Amino acid sequence: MLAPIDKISDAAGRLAGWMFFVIGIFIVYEVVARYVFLAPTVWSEELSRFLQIWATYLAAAHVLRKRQLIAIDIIVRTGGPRLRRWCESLALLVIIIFCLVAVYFGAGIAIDSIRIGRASSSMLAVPSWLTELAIPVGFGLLLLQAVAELIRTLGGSTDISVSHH
Amino acid sequence: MAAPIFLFLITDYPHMIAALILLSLLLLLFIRVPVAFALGGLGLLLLWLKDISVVMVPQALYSAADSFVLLAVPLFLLMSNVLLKGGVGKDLFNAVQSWVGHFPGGLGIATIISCALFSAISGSSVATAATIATVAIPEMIQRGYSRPFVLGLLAAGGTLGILIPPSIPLILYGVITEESIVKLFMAGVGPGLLLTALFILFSIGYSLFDKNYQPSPKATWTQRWQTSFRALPTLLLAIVVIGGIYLGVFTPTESAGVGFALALVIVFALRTMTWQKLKLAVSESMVTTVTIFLIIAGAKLFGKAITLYRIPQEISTAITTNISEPALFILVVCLVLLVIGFFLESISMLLIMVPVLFPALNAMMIDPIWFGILFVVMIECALITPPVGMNLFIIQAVAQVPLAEVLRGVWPFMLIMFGTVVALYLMPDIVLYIPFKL
Repeated sequence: MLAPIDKISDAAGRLAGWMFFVIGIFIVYEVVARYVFLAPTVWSEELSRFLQIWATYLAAAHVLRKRQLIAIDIIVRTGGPRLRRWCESLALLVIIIFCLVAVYFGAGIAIDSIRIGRASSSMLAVPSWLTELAIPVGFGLLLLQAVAELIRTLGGSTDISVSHH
Repeated sequence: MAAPIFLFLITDYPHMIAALILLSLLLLLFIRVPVAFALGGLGLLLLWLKDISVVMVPQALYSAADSFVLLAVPLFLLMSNVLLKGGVGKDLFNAVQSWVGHFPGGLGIATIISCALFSAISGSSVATAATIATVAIPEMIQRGYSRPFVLGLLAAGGTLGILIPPSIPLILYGVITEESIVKLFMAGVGPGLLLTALFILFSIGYSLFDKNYQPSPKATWTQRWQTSFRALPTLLLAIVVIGGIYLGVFTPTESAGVGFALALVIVFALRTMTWQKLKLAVSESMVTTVTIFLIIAGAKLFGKAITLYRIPQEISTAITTNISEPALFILVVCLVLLVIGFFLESISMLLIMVPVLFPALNAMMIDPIWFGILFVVMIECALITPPVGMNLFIIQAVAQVPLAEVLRGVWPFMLIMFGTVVALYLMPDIVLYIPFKL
């Protein structure tokens, strides 16, 4: 039942990885354009930042699933499985609450931008909601993944001391 | 209900609020809430308690990732991961070993030089330690070097990764404080070379007392040229990346992008890259980047919230009214960082502590670039101090030994690092000469 969520998170993570790769190509193209063609681009910096925002938040769910988020282990590691399960549930709850706020208010900002037609102040004039949407989408995915992990933890189907590599 | 009581506390007992916030943060961290969400969640709570619109949450998340300078982080990671998967660590080590391997303590020297060279293409200590350790540990153990010495050497040598440019912590420090990343990178060179030299001297000194190891045979000139030929492109890459930044040809972000493209060219030319390895390099770079960026986002929100509660200002005033001597201030900061470093991972330590300490620098007349380097050296100490020292874990995992054995080897290097901190204080030019006087 939870498998589709994992699949979506992993696909979003893979996509994010290649977005960073594409950013690299944009930046190199910009350097080449400036020094070789003597014609700097107007789009490379802005598109790179655009992709960076999307990539960062799209990948959050995947990183949670892989248990790669940086956390302090010392106390929980020494405790028993019961304590670990409690702490894990509490931690996921904090993430869930945070995601709810980010999704709700993040979506609000994007909807506002669509309504008043806000755009970036650069020459490209990219509609603002295109980037702002990254927050509700990314944290929406993270919310789903966190709920899935919470269900697993409460059901006792995972040992949280082991990462799922 | 709770909010008015809380507001009354804020205005009348600022110290109490500061302590309360700190305790809540520690509590969240200790129940293993990921650092990013401990910071972000607490920031959210603080905003809500003060009746400030939580629309600030998505805004802070957005602006945290909307940075051209930060693009250098994923790009430098891609560059070093591509080289790493292309087996460059082994090439570097073999080349250096063929030149210095036959000296007394030769493999130790080769290890440290390899770490320093790899640091020039990697901005992360963990990557540096892992890469060189994989090739150097088996070689050194086989030659009879004492195990704790080998393990300590690699844990410490790996920390050079964040001092010798490029450096991810220095990029983050530059972003938080709005100091020049170019200057910070150049400031890291002097202390990086100093530490490298001290580690090498220690290796030579150690090998004079420990007679159990067998010296490596002297390599032939053919071997030297063959191994150096494979390592040469990587060295040139490092020169282009760092030289380009230094001469102002590229911004740090562009230099990282160029380095990444050249890294791809090198590993494909050496025929050591496969599609599978490339996918792995891309995915690992993404995970590291995202974990760092999420903490940046959380720290940004937390930073905004505590500024609204005037916590950094309070701390800054408390420091300047109680401590008048810069030397004492530095000592206190180092002790605090040492204690925090016992349990906090290095990037989190930087993102939490720099915004709090930075306002006090001005009053103390401390150079912010110099302070950035001091901070990074303290992070290096944190990386090799238990119970939470990432480099210890990496070395332990690579060598498959108990942590205690790594710890037995690592303490002399901690003393060397403390000595370096003192040297940086007494001779600030070690840091400032290259960026400001050259």
